[in-house]
Amino acid sequence: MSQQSETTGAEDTRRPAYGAGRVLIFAYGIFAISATARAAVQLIRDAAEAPLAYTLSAVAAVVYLGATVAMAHNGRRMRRVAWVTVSFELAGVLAVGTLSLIRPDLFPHASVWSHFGAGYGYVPAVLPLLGLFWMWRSSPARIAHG
Amino acid sequence: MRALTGPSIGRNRRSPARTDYPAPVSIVIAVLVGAAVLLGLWAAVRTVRDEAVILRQLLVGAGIEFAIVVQMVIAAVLIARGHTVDGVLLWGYLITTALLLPAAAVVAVAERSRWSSVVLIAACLTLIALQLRVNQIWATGGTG
Repeated sequence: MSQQSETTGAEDTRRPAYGAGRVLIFAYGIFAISATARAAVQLIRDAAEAPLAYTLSAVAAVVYLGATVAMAHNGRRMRRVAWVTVSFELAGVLAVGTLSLIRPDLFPHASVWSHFGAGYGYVPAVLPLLGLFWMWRSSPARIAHG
Repeated sequence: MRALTGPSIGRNRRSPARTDYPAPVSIVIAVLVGAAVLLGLWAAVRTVRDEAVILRQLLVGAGIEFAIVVQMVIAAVLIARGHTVDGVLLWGYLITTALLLPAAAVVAVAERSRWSSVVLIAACLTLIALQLRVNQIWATGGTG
């Protein structure tokens, strides 16, 4: 072997990937798009019919968008945004879900969170739980110390 | 032929509702659902084999996107010709449908593991669900 320096293929065994988290972020993206579309349709077509439900739809859409972007970005401050938005979603689906059952008169028209997201196969209730779990699992502090 | 039976009921304010179902609409929906099923199954096979999405799958996705554009053109023409359908609702679904596969393609580039295949499955399932709703909107004029 000569002393001539030789470039050997450096093997980087780390996966260039977020793994399963990408699926979750994609699911959030789908909900961000469809919640935005739904809110847009409701506000364009019949905003006056159920202002509370439709305003909620719009708020939910904005929060889903924020959560999607923040989780995908995964920066230090963006992770904080993700914690806040995902927690807000959990609180929202619990509060609106409960209220829509005990005070249905408040919600004459369905929003994405009514009845714990039954109209969407309860995905709106499951997503924030998975989201919080993912935020905990992907936490740099936990990975470094754990 | 509900138009002849009197004023329509429910939330449909655009009475009388014509519920005739144009043939091109159902053909495109059938093509889209069929293609999405096949692409989803392909992605499922690659998921089981622990493989990422490949370019050939994205090309099939591009074909599906083309069919969605055709669907949009058909919808625009039919609505312009006076077909009674809930246009705002329909366009909400059409635009959402069109965004799914490009988003899955972005993930396919960023995520070179089996998880991009799982994302493609999710995109195909969502696309099928949305197309079934589009089918329903055309069939009922948007009241269902």
